[in-house]
Amino acid sequence: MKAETFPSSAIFHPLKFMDVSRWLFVFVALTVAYFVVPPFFFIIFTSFVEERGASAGSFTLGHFASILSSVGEVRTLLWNSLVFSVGSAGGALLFGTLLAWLAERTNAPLRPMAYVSAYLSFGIPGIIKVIGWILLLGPKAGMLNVAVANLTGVHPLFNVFSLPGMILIEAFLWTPVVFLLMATPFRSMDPSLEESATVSGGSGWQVFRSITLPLALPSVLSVLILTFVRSLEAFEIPALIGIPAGIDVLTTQIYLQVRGGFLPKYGQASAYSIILMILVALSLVPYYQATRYTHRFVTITGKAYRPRRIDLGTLRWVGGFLLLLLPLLQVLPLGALLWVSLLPFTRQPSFEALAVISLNNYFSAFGDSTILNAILNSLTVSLCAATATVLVTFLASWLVVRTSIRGRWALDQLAMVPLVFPGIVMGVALLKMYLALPLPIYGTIWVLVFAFITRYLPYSMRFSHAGLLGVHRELEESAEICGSTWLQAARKIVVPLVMPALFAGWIYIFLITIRELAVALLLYSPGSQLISVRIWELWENGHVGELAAFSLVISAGTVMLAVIFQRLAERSGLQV
Amino acid sequence: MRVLAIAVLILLILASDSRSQATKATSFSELAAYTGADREQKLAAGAKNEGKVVWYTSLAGSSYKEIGKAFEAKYPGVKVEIYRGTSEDLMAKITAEAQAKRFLVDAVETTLPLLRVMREEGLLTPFTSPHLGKYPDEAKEKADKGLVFWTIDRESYIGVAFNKKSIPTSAAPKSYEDLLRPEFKGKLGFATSDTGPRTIGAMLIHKGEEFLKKLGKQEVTLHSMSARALLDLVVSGELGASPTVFRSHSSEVIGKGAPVSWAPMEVVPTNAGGVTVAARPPHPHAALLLADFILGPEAQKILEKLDYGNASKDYGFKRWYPEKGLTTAQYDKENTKWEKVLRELGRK
Repeated sequence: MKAETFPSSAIFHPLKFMDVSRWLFVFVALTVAYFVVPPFFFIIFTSFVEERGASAGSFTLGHFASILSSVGEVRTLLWNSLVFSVGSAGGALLFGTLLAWLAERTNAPLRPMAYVSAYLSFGIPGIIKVIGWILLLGPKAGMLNVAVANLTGVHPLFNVFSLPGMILIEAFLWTPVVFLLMATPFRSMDPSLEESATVSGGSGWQVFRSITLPLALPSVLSVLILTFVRSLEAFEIPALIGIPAGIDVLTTQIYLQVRGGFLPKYGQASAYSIILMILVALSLVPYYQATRYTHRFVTITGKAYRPRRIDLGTLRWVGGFLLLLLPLLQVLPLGALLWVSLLPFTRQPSFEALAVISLNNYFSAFGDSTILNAILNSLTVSLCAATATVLVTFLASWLVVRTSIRGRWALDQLAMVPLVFPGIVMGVALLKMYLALPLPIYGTIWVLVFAFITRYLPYSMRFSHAGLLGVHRELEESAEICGSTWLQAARKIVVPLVMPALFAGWIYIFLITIRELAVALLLYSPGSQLISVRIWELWENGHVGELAAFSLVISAGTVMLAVIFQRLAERSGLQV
Repeated sequence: MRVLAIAVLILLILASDSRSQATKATSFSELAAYTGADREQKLAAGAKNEGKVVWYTSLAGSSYKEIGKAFEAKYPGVKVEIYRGTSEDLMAKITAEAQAKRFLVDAVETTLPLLRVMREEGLLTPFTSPHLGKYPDEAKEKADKGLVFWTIDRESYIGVAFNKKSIPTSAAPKSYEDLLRPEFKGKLGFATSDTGPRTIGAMLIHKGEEFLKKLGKQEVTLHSMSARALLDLVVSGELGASPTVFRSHSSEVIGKGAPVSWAPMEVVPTNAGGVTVAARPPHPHAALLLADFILGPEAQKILEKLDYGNASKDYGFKRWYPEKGLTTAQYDKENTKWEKVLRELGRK
């Protein structure tokens, strides 16, 4: 991209600005590279090397060949993957965007509930929610299905073990993320544009379609890329719902290679990551083209404004009902889990079952002296990882959005790379990396902090990138014309304005790392136990009731923490 | 001058380190083979000096924590630090640490395939234990001079769990053949993890391919969850039965009143776990002391209480050890074949 994108860059001290930003660029690029390149290298290496047997260590194209051959044989694999990813990403995007618009730009009631439930959803491990949905919508004994059958005789109402079931549940899992990512641009949007359109006679829908939505385009695209790529490489739903349904996607093969067998086959999983990486790189191209002229997407300018809320009239209750769906989508599976957490074994709701409810599962799940230590470790790791990740990605996205340094797009690409590492493969890559490095952090909780930074760079990058795109350059320019340095302008103007986006990213990473598993599993050491490892153990060996009890309490705790953080942020003047 | 002094110092430290490691290594194999009457006192005193023992295990539930606690109670001053993971996790961790020459683990308790890999990679030390006499020969992996590479300390048995509301008592299965009855159609679920392929192995070897073809017509579903989580689907009635469930898990839920029954088939695929000591344990005395303890009566009582089986006892069914007599490469090949058959079974 050329400098003409920023025609006004000559107004203020270009030399000083460019010098400092160049040094900053080098520093940030090296930092990001440190986190991304070694595991990336490991994955490339593993994908081209024979894993076992007499020829172990020698070069091979076999891993790619076997993936490509299975794709060639079974076109349904590709087709299923595509339907699943497009369906769930599209569903989550539509629903999440609609809800974000309702919450931020209209006078629909119940918006605080939508926010609380969106945060709540991050605190609960994906596998737990999927189990909740299976308990509700299982074709034979799903509580909802049985209840509907008792009332109407229709059975089953909905079979979760199907392709629509996979798409629906994956879309449910992603809706809260989309909601939070989209709320930021809607909140900070200059209403004068919408007002002009309304005054010129545009209907509500026309205004939304031709003004609001285009302004939010960078965010929409960011979110689309995130959800699409994530669904493409998702393991939980294909494994837990797809396999019983007999519906295989690309990742099912990889999942079974790595997790199913006696000797894990990292070579194929790595080869698959490489293919995925190429796909992601390709899908980023249209994104860059669409967001190339960044000034088109500014939603925060120097003009004073108060975001106006559109009066929906009597329709506001419809909006309120839709907003209520977000908490409902969390409460339903959690309700099912709450029910089984109170029982000695899983059974249908009935008066007979009510007689045996107890808190025994809660006592046994927490009856362990090492839990407190695990909680402290998890909190430390998540706080540090979230803060560091947001800091690095804010600087990185500022450099990408604001400077005209050549190759800045490469920095963005670099930060996106970990998105496509399957968690398990990344766990192995990081294990080998930190064992090999002379850094004395292996065996401590710090190795987990470093690992989480790597894993969540792409997410944080999209949060801060979308936030920065919305801030008009004129604000910094005015400050610089008034004599402030670019650093002062950044500190006093840019940072406060993108803070809501950064905070959303921070909370997201904090909550998601509390329950992150794939990477933690191999990297934790005796003495650095984490909560998520305990959850995994209960999933593997405990019964669903105990697992539900433990996860519900931990989720409630993390959500309470998130609310406290939010309150603290609001008190310090941050609008979040 | 100063640089030179530092360099000399570093060299001296490196030299003394490697020398101490060399003497440690020889004395460790001697220590591991020591059979004197004062073995326990000697190990306990050494362990107290070392202060802790690092134990990697794939034991599950509360078992390993209870064993750790009991050990700490018996030998105060020796802390047990535990890494618990599936045998696949342990394999990744142990091999990666060994490749990086980071010797962090003292004792290991895990399933046989991983123990084999460790032996092939030279990551084990042959040892003895005063409790070995109580174990049958099949439970010991013998090394030279009466030592063992490992000894099986627990077994888990895989059989058919079925929901009594979903499967009538008259159709209660007694052999794999019974699963072909119409009562089981559309109700059978297999775990894709560990127990699933092993059960397929047992069916293939003892019933043949023809049987699996017939089974394929029963609309079997696969579930990529642990055998324990799968049992919950049988308990709730989502599945009628599963031939990939452990006896110990079933007796736990049956004890709580769940409408489930567990039955051994004509052969019972057995998951066996053995205890061993690492090749270069950082806490050698504590490593051996813990291995002795796990094979001793206190830890065995804990495992028995949790319904783990004992290699020396007869439970009235015929055990089958899937990895027996196979090298790691052979077992991997067999296991891969079983997985493939399992996948085809679930394909629609």
